[in-house]
Amino acid sequence: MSFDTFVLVMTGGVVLGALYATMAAGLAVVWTTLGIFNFSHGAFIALGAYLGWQLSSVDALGLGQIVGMCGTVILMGLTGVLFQQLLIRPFERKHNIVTATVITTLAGATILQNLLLVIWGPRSKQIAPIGTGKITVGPLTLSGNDVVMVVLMLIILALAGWFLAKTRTGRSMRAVAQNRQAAELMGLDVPRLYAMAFGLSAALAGLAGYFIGSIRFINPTVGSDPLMKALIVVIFGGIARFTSPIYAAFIVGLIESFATFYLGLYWAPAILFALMMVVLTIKPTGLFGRHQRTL
Amino acid sequence: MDPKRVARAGLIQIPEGNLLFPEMTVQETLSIAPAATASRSGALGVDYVHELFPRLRERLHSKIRYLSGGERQMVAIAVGLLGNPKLMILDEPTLGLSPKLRAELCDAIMKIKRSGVPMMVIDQDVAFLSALIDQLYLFDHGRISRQLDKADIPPHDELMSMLFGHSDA
Repeated sequence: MSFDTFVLVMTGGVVLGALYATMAAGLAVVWTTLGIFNFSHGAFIALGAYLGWQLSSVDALGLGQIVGMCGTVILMGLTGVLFQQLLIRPFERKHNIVTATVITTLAGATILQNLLLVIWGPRSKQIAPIGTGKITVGPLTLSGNDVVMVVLMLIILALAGWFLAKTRTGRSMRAVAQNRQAAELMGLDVPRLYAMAFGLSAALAGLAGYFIGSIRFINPTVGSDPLMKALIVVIFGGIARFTSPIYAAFIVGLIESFATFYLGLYWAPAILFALMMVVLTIKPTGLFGRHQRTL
Repeated sequence: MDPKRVARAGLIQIPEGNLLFPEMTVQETLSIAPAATASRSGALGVDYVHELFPRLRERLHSKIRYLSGGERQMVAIAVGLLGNPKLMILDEPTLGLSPKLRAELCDAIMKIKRSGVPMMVIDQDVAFLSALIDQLYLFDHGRISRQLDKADIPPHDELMSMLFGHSDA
């Protein structure tokens, strides 16, 4: 493998890693706080991509990249809150909340995906590259788009981490995730915190969707494959801390990238699933996991 | 009723063996207590809590899961006090504590009482209770079997026989 190829495969892996990290962090926030798995996360990613296209593309509203990105994140945050109120809130405190929300979020995903088809039609869309040109660092030549994407996602993840660690609302969200009863006795507004956790998760999904929309063609199922990978990441890394799925995401991204290069596109998922099974057998709480369900 | 409204109306319950939030530090936990920033009139501040539990000041940056049972109980009470309680219910605050911590916690509860926070304390340690309370209610199988004023609390042996019946010896 020549140096140039190595750099290409490597950056491919890092870009995938950043995308998976953004998605997995969103998944993990809901998983840890609400204790449920959100199967609409993939549809959120697709919706984010379409919204981003609608806002930013010159074929649609043409408001530019910055408005597109911020608008997508805000609109997706609101969508997340709406979804939580409609699909999860009614089942809170029921003993079968986990099964019930598997059904409702799967239903939500199906409805949303078909709605996307109705609104935007079957033709694939694409968001213009966010960064342009090439960036040369020493012997490395990197695509500007890749660099901008990875840097932006790392900044957003750092901001989300800061929010959870330092702000009152973020800390309250962690508190609810760790002990709902104690949080209620303290007088924390648990339903509001649940809604906000879902909103944050959806906003992260929307951002991931926006970036995916700039490197792949957007269709209603564009989120399904990345969601599967994000799920692997969450299981692989564990969710002991906000950062653990993020490390795992980069490992998974790099493995996928190198597996694709050496073994071909169709073998990469097989390798990932095999690795996931190994991790689950040896360390069921995930590579960086110690305790389950904290934030 | 919505638990949030119960707590914000001033009824604060500190359950027994409260585990709080294992992965958060003491300082983080104190910082999210609802009244900590919304400075209501007469609300007890973080400074008061630090004064009440000097031990917590040393452990501000430890995670809750590394604290001892007594320290955890102190955090729970501190958080409750920050909520500006009109009535604080302590459910077996001294459960399973070492004698030293127990004494420390009892002192703190005395101080809280002197500061004028109405309290309902449920405990099995009558010696501790009789020093603290104004009214003693004896519970027997979920019913209040007797109500005693502080002045009428009988000596230890008599109380024991009231609670557990007379011994045959």
